[in-house]
Amino acid sequence: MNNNFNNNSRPAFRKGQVNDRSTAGINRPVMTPEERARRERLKRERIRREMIRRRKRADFICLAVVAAVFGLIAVLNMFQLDRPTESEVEKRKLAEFPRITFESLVSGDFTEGINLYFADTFLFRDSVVSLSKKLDSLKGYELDLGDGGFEVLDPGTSKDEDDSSVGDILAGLEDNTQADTSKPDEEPVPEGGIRINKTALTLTVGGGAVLTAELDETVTDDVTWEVDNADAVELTFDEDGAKLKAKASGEAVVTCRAGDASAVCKVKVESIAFGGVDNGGTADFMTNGLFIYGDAVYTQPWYLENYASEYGDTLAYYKKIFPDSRVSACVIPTSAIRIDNGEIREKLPDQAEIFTRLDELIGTKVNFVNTYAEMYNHRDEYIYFKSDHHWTQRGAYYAYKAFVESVGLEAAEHDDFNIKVLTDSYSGSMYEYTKNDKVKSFKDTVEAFMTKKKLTMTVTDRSGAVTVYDTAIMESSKTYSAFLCGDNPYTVINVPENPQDRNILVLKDSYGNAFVPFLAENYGNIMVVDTRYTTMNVKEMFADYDLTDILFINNLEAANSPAWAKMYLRAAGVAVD
Amino acid sequence: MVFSHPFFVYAFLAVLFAAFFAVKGNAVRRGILIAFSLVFYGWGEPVYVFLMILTVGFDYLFGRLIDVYRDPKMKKLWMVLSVAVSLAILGFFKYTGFAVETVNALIGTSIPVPKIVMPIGISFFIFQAMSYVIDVYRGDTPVQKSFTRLLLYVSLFPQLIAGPIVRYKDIEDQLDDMSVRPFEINDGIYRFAVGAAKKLLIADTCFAAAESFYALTDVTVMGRWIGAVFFALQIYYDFSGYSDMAIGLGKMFGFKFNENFNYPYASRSATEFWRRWHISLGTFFRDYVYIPLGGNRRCHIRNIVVVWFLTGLWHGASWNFVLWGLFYGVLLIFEKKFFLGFMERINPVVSEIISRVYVAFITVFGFALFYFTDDTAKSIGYLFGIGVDGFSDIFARSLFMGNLNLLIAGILFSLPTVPFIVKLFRSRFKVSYEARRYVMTAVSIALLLLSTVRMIGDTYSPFLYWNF
Repeated sequence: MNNNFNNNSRPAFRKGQVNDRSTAGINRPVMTPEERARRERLKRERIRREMIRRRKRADFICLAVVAAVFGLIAVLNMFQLDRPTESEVEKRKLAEFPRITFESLVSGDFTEGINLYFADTFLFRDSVVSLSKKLDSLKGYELDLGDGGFEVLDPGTSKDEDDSSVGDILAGLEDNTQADTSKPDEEPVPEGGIRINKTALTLTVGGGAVLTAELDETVTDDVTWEVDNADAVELTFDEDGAKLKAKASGEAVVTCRAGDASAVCKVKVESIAFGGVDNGGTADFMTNGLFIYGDAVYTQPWYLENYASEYGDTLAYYKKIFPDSRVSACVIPTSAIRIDNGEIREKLPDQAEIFTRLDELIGTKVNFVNTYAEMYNHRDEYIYFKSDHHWTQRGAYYAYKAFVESVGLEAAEHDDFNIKVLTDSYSGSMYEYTKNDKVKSFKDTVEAFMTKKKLTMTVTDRSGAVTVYDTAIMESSKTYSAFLCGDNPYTVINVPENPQDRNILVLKDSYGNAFVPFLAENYGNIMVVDTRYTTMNVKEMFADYDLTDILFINNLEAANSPAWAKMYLRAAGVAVD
Repeated sequence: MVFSHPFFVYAFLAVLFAAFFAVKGNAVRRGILIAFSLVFYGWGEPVYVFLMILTVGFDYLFGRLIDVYRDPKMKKLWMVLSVAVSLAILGFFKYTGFAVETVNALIGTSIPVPKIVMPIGISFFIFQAMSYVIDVYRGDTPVQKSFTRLLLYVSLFPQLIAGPIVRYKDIEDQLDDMSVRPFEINDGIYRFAVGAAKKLLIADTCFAAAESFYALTDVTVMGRWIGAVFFALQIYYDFSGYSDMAIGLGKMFGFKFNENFNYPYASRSATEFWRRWHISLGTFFRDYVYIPLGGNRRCHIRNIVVVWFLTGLWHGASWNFVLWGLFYGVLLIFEKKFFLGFMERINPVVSEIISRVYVAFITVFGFALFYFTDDTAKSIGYLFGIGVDGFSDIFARSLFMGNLNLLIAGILFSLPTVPFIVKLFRSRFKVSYEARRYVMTAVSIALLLLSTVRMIGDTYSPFLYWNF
């Protein structure tokens, strides 16, 4: 059928009809070739216009859609009512709107600040950030080693041993004649009078001191002591002298009398110094050289001979300033001890060698507890977390066992505890740091070894507030912070049913938190200091405390860190920069 | 301000769009563009924005002077003066420190190295302003009597900071008419989205991959090479992504810029590579240095060496960039004299394979030169097994597996894969204009949303310490 043009100006050819002019005007419209051409041209133009209109409409729709989507985001974001100020997920304060000053405008800081503020408070930021991390997991796979998948999370930076200032400080202590500035110089005993060994004293809350009196020959009366501010200083005395205990910050005057003679000592009690302490970037160490293998995240072991040696010397200094106490060190291996895969072990420093060497460096100076062997022997048990860089309490138990046996005490058994599960879906620090999807799937169980003994724990937290608990492990917390309420400047645990003259001072990093509760099985008083959050002087504070043991608990990397050695020296009253 | 920051897209661009398209009238629109462009530049350089305006002022003046004076000698004087001033400014800000260091190293003096902060984009806007004056001098373009139009040309924010180097004569006739049609805006948005995806989805991730390979304390040959490949991918996607965003942004406001990248990694020789990589720079040096020096008619080798020395130097004030440039210069001479002819004469299949391998090698190797500003010799040595701890190890293999999809995607899209597929599809199926536009819009939206996710995600900086 001759049907090339499907329009209505020309009827379909009917069968039998002849295309000649004789039937024109009856069934068929007449068209000259010019007219036909004109009609076709108009038709083509109409089609073209129609097409252009359709295209323009499509263009317009496309533009409208894009403008709507992104315009909406822009508007909703710009006119947010409540911009967030803190990030739950990142654990930091988000940027604030920058201050307008001439300097900030000229230097470009102001505009940079706006950029930061804008990005930090963007709509749905937290969800967007997790989505972004999820996208990351699309870029590849883990390496299958046959016995587990292997994935490098952080290649780690090479570690340089510089000469650290700790070395100089230690050298300065060698011929240390730290003058006791509160001793009166060469003052003779006044005629008919008393001389106390100290006329001025500064104590920190919780600390103590002993005052003795020397009497002139002519004085024969009994010596009594009294204090005017019992809230600040608690005083007890006997024929040997007066024992002072600093209870609260304030000032007090201690008076010593014998008959008519008297002498005074002005005592100032300061609160524990809190606040951010320059730790020299300790956090970096924990995130160095991270990798996933099988079902856990691992950190690479680390050993730097110079720094380890300085750590040992620092601990030895404590032995010097506390001559009547036993000083011990528990250095904790990284979870890499669990790895049996030969290919991986080949690339990691051998912790057996490291600990042998540490024993040689530190064990000759103080009691170096054999934590490595104990933990290695139990490495198939759940002694480290999979998604957190810390050890579990089950792991800490073995270090506790090694420690108390090394000081001649009996370790409690598993039966001596109520082992509770605080949570079985703990996602720890390694997830917080990497936000890696794979790490998210490693769920940890937090076990708590609850003691059966009664105890009180007094925690001074980073804001200075003091709280008293009747347990060392917070069952309501579902994270590693359950142990000892997390990292706090100063904590004291008292266990009445243990011998009260068996005391221990623990200086620790966060690994100590899971460890310390076990000490309640053996010790009457446990004092825990975290030198990252306080600049207290333990030498002064515990000058009269009669410490049985002093224990340092650090993970392997902290024991190879000049920052920690410095903090311990500062806590021992040594001036550090 | 950078294109890949949320503030640019969701504050600056959003407001600019609203303002520009709410008004009609060329003068007003021109004014808005200039104002926003100055804010854009001043955002990052609150002080040097005035330097930029001053540069335009100088070159406007010199352009008028060249136009007014009839004596060819005077015209030449003004042109030379303006070029001298431009190069002096560029030299001062960008190369002073480098020059002093080099002098110290050569003569053994110890002149203190001044620390001069380089204004962003100076390499681009100086070259652009220079091109205007030279073209006026040569008579290739009429003088621009309106200062605002010249300012618009130089300060136009899409190409101000990261190129492409837009020649005045290419854009001269687009400075008057400020009208834009919807399909141009859509094209612009699409191009911008592609550029953003290239930068945020691929380039940045490739950079992280390259860094992780280079951060491994145990150095392996495999690790170094794969890291170098990722670095080569990063440079391409970063640079071409920025050019795409620039071209897209220009299009959105009615400006057509020339292409700056044309799938350079699909080249078969270094000669072809430089016709596909940073095209605007290549043509700039060709038109303003190579040809005036005599091109391939007089002192051919010398001209090539000069041009490539300058090309390398333009990329950065450090000797490894110059080395990189000269490396290409040598290759170009080698190719012109022997390689290209040889490739023509042998079996096509063999020549195809050889040229691909050859280009892959020189590209990756070349960018390794580019990347290592310190320890260049040592890093090159690693690539050839000198001083390494082994060929491969478990860490390198793990990083390789962990970035495998990225590697494949990176290589795939650096070649003209998408155009090839589209052409194949359209040769079988008829696709209407509308369908094409809808698909393009869907792709733009998807890519921009994903890029936004990345933009925000990149600002994640957890504060680790106190948690421990």
